[in-house]
Amino acid sequence: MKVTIQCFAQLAQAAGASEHTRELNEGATAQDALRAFADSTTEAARALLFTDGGELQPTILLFLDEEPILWAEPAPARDGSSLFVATPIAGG
Amino acid sequence: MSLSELPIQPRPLNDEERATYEWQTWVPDFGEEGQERLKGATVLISRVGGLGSVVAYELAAAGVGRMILAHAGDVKASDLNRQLLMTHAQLGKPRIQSAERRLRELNPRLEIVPVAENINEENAARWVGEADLVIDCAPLFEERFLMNREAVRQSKPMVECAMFELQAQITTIIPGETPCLACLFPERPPAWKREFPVFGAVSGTVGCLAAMEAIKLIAGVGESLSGELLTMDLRTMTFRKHRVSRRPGCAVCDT
Ligand SMILES: [Zn+2]
Repeated sequence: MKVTIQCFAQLAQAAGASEHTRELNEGATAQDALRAFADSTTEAARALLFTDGGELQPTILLFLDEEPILWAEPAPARDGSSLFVATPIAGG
Repeated sequence: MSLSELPIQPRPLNDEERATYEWQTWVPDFGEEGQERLKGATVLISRVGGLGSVVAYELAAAGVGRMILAHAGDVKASDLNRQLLMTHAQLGKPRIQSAERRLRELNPRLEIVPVAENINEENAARWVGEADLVIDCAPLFEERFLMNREAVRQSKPMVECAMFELQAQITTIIPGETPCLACLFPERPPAWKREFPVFGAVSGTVGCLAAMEAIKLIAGVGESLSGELLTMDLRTMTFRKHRVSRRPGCAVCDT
């Protein structure tokens, strides 16, 4: 199944585009989709998402099909799901 | 989410004000009563740069009675692509002076409290305390977290808006009801830099939205972005509203 990762702001810039689609196995979660994206994007984008220890950066906000999700709670995705990933911004 | 009323003392309008604001008092649910509430309100705007310039200009046009504006430094050439209260003639002069002058040209009735420094540990409590509503337009997370902490502590609503490149976001924080900034971002984001890519039309877009949020909160009309984060990508003109939740154990609003 296909899941689209929609990157916001600095993450979109670091990844080179805002929309990225990944092919995942049936039953995959939003967390699997983000890991798959991180494994196949730029080093700069990966560093915005995950700490050196492999934990999600605590300032990342995740929304699966517009609903907020927590990294610690696996959220089942479906074919055609979109995962919106917001990196924090402060431009004034 | 509907609005809970802010404790603002409405101030009666004079004939000049009635004439100036006539067209907006035709807005249903707003009327002269809404205008009197705007006149009675004090709004704190933290920095009048790309975002805050437009917020302040729109609120001055709308007839907010009193504004506390905090912004340090002198006008630089690189301000002029977006900081619409700064003018070429004011290059090298204090930004706050340029902002005040420009706002007075538009609305000489506006009471301005010019603060020639950014919001910091020493002044945050005082200026937040004097305002009915705060609008966070600072370019650094340190300043934003400070405003957030103070707004939550003093139970002042805060319109939180920010931009980067062609993207922007905005939410309204109602202490005790909605997530605060620290619920969304529990620590200082590691990758944020003080200088960022920006068009004035992007900061201006979210600045207008923030001004509208402020008008609605003060007048008690419409629905605010409390508990919702509106993100926008002006590269594709995609606008999304996301529900956001309070973070249990938040160091600022859940202690
Ligand atoms: Zn909080």
